[in-house]
Amino acid sequence: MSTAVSEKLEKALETAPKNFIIQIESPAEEYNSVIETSLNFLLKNKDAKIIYVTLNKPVSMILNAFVEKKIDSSRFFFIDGISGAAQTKESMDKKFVVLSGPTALTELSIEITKAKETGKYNCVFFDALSTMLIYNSQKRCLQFSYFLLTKLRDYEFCGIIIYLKSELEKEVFDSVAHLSDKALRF
Amino acid sequence: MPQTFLEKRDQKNSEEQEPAVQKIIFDQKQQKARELLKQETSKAPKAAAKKSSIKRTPSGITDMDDLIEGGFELGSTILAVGTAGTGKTTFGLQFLYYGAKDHNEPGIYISFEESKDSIFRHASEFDWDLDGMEKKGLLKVLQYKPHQVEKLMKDGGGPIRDAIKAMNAKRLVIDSITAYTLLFKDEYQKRENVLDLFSYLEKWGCTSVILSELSPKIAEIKEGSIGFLTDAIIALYYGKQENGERVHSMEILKMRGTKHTDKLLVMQFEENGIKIYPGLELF
Repeated sequence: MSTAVSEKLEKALETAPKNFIIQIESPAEEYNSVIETSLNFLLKNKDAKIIYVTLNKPVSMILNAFVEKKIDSSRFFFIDGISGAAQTKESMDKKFVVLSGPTALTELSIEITKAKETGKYNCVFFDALSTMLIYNSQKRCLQFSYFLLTKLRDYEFCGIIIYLKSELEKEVFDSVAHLSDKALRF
Repeated sequence: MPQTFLEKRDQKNSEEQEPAVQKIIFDQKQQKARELLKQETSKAPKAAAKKSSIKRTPSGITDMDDLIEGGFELGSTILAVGTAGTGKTTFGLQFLYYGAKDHNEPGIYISFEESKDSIFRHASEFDWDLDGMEKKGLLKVLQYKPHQVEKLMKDGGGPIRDAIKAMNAKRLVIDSITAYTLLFKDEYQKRENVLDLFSYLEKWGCTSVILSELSPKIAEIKEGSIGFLTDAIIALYYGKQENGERVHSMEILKMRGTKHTDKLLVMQFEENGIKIYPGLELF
C-alpha cells in the first residue's frame, strides 16, 4: 500500500467516533492492503469481534490469508455470500455460514441479525458492497445499504463497508455516504 | 382409472385462478353465518378497546407474540393459509409442540391426508421431541381417511370430542380444511359441513389452527366462506423476489380484537421451528 493511502486510512480510523461507520472505496491494487489495515485497526484498537460479510472471496481463502497475515480468526464470524451451495452451509464450530448466493439479501440480513443476537459481536466488516451490484439491481443495493447502515446504528456497532472502485458503485457510495461517519476514497 | 383423492385435490388447486361462478343458495345456516359476520364486524371496535380483558395463549412461533398483543385469543379459531411449501404443517405442529412443552397445554393434530409417521418425519429436522410429548399425553395425532370423515361429522365428531375430553386438550390443529371441503360434492354440502365443523370447534372450546392449502382469496370462495367464520387469518408465503431469491414470509390479514402489524414479516425455519424477524424487510 502506498504510504499516502496508509496514512490517510489510519488517520481516518483513529479520529473516527466510538461506534463509527466508515465507507471505503479502494482501487483494486490497494484492496488487500486496505482490508488488512482496517482489520488490524479494529482488532488492536476497538477490541472488535467482527461479523465479516464476504461477497468477494470464499471464506476458505480469507482464512488462509489470515494465517499468512497473522490475523486472529477466532474473533470473526463469517457470512459467505459467494461460495453458494458448493460448500457446507454452516461450519461445525459455527464460525461461518454460507448463503445460497450473492442475491440472497434477505437471507444475508437474517444471518447478520442472528449473529448480532448471539451478543458475541460488535462490528460488521462488509467486503465488498460494490460486488453486490454485479448480482443485484442498483435499487435493491441501495435498499440493502440503507437497511445495513441503519441497523448498524441501531445495534451500536462499528462498521466498515468496503467498495471496490468501479463504474458501478459510485451512485450507491454517494447515496449512502451521509449515513456513515466517514466516506473515504483512495 | 378413477382419480385418487390427492389427484382430485391437486386438480382443484390448479384450477384456483378463475373460480367458477356458482349459484349460492342461502339456507338457514348460511343466513346465520352472514348474520354472525355482521355481528362480528360491529363487535370489532369494542373488542379492540377491551384488549386487556382478552385472555391469550402463546402462539409458539418464535418472536410472533409481541406482534399480536401476547398471543392468540384463547378459544379462537385461526386460519393459516398458504400453498405447498409455505410452512403450514410446521406452523400447526409448532403451535401444538410449544403449547405442550412450555405451557403444559395438551394438543391434538387432526390430519385428513398425511399419516402420523409422515408428519413426525417431516418435523424431525427441528429440535422437537414429538414422541416425548406424545408419551406424556400432551400430543396426539388423529388421522382420518376421506371416507371416514363424513361419518365422523354425522356422529358429531365423536372420536375427536372424546380425545379432547380424555386429554383435556386446549389446542387443536386441522390439516387441512381444503382436504375436508373436497369431500363434499356441492357448494351447499360444503358450506353445511364447514358450518358444522365450526360449531363443533366452538363447543370443544380449544384454540384451533385450521390449515388451508389455498391462497386467502381463493380459500374464501372455495372453502365455504371460511374466512369470516375464523377469528384470525394468517397467510404464509414462499415468494420469489425479483432477483430470483425465494423467501419465506408471513402476513397477519385479520385478528379480531387484536392490534396487529400489517407488515409482511420475514420468517425462517430454524432449529426450533419458524422464527419471525419483525425488524427485517424483504429485499
